[in-house]
Parts: sequence; C-alpha cells; structure tokens
Amino acid sequence: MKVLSKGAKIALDIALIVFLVMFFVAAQMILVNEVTTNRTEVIKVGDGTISPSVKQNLVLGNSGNAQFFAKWWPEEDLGYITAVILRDMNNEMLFYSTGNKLECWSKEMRLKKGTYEVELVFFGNDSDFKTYFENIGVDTSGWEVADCFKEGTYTVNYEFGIKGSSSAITGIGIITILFLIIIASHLAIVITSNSGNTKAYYDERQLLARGQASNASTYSMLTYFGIYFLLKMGEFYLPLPDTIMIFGGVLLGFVVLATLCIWNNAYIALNQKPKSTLGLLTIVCGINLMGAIVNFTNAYRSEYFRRIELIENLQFRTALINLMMALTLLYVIILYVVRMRLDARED
Amino acid sequence: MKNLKLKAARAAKDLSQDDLAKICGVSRQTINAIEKGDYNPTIKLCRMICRALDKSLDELFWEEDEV
Repeated sequence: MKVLSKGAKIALDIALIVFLVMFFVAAQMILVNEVTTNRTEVIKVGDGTISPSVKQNLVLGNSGNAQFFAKWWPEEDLGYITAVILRDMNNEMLFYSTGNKLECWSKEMRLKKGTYEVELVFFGNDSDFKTYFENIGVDTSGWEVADCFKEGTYTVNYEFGIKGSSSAITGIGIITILFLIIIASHLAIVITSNSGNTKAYYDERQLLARGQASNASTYSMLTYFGIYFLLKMGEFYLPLPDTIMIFGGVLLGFVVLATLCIWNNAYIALNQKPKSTLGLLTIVCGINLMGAIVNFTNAYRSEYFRRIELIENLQFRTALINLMMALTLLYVIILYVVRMRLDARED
Repeated sequence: MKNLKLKAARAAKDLSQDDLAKICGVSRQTINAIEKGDYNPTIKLCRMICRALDKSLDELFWEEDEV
C-alpha cells in the first residue's frame, strides 16, 4: 500500500487550510449579536398586592444559535417567585423558567433575526402562580411552592437577554487556529523532509498487521457503542454527557489501532521518518494540552460554571475533550518510544 | 519455527537484518519476524530474499519435517 506522495500531501494540507479558513468565515457570518437589558423592579408581596408583569422587547440582529438568559439580584431573601417567558414574533412561547432561583438559561436555540418579547411575571401567592401557568398550558401538578411566599417589598435588579453564539464562535476560532497550527506544522515537515523523494509504503507484514489492527479497532468501537446505546436505551445513569461518551468511543478505536500497529511495527510506513511523525504528534499533544488548560481555566472563572452542574458547562466539556485527546496522544508517543527502544535492543 | 537457514545464509553474506530488509524493500522487523518464525512471507518476498542471498527457495524455506 502506497502512502501519499510529497506533492499530494502538500496539496491536501493547502486544501485543508483553505477549508478551515472558509469554515471560520462562514461561522462568523452566522454570529448572533448579544442583546442584554437591565432593569430594576420593586415587587410588593402581601395584602393581595403584587406588581404587574413587565415586558421588554429584544431585537436580534442576525439569525443563529443562541441562548436566552435571565439573572436577578434581590436585596433581601426572596419572598415571591419570578417567571421568565420568552416569546417570538408570533407570540409563541419559546422558553419559560420559574422557581425560586436567581438565574436561568435556555438551551441553545436556533433563533431568527427579529424582535422577541421577554415577560417577567411576579407572583405573591400559590394560586396566582399555578393559574398563570395552567393558562399557558403548563402542567403544574407536583409544583410545591406554597412556602416560597413572604410578605414584603423587594427591590430587584434584573438582567436578561439573548447570548449569541459569540462564545461558540470564540471556541470555533480557537479550534480553527489550533488546526491551522497543526496543518502548518505538518506542511513544514513535509516540505523540509526528503521523504518525498522516495515514496513511503507498508510492506506485506505491516499491511497484514494493520488489517488486523483495523479489525480489532472496529470491533472494539462496535462493542463500546453497542454497550453505550444499550445503557442509553435503558436510561441508565451515565456520568458524562453524550459528546464525551461518543468521543471516548472514537478515541478507544484509535487507541486500539495505534497500540496494535505500533506494537507490530506497522504504524509508520517504510521511508517515513519516525522523528517527523513523533514531532507532529508531540505538537498536536501540546496544543491539546494547552487548549485543555485554557478551557479549564475559563470554565472555572465563568460565573455560569458556579451556578450549574459542572459537566453542563460547554467550556468544561471542550476542555475535557482536549485533555482526553492530549492523554491519548501522549500514550501513543510513549508507546512508540518504548517500542523503538525495544527494537533497538533486538537489533 | 525459527528459520535458522535464512539467518545463516544472511550471516554468510555478511548482511545485517537491516541490509537485507533494504535490498528486499521491507522493514527490518519483517526480516526479524521471518527469522524468528513469527511471520510466513508470501512467495514474492521469499523469492526476493532468495535472490538477495543467492539461494534457492528450497534451500531457505523448505522444511523436510513439515511434509
């Protein structure tokens, strides 16, 4: 089996760089602008008095994926309940959140360019609260909120808005830059190496070993995903989100393939320079490790991180993926070095 | 089963595993695996090895007790 010639490798690298740049430009175009509004409300609870609801329009400049959020800071303990409702131009409810909490976030939604209406409703007693939600078609059975209400006047600062894909775009930007560095490093290695003069290929024993490794890799992935989907269908508790679990399966396949190929001396083709390959793996490993550190730090610093479950944080998930990738590559590098040492001893 | 005949023929020609591998266009580990009996080469590779060592197929790869 012949591996790619030097010219083909350079052409492929250039094509990848062009694709990544185009992808990033396209991603920028779907950027949703951030819309945030602040307002202060005085809420009176008791003697049958409750402040009316307030409505506010949010104008979204571009279509795209976005999250709606609302946060509030009362001066004292809450003695009332706030409901936050987001409606679109056709007055259709897109999101609601309620309960005795101080912050809520919608899931990421695909929002069109236009005007959205946010309604903040304040409830001073149980029956008003339940009636309101039943009127908008929400099942309130099982909602035990009677103890939440306390007479008093509360001054509350509200902040709400639509957070666009800016954080996602930043993430895409970082990933794009990382990929560009990897491809540029590969391009530099290919251009400066002499391996292009003699075509790299695998001999018959290596091809056999690679075939066996591919087989083992496929079956291990199938087994992993089979078990994963069974657990998923059985609604068993899985400690990590789907993104990580699926990525873990892919990494498992890669680890099995790399382990068997390296151990049978079939990972690097003949005429290919092991040092170049190891150098590239080290660069990718280092970049992933840096990505993991940056993302972990950002996730830890973000206010969002402290208020929700750790694993739900997108940056935390990205950091975890980076870390998994870095550890896998580190394993491959170490295994390769060990195998090289053993080979040298055998020689 | 170890292929001692191949090892001896290679040594007689004063070739290292790496030298023979380069002549045959395979990896050193492949020659090592053939000598150790861990890998059965194809007839194509057997012929290449035989040519490199000036031996016949029978001389290097025929085992009487295998029949």
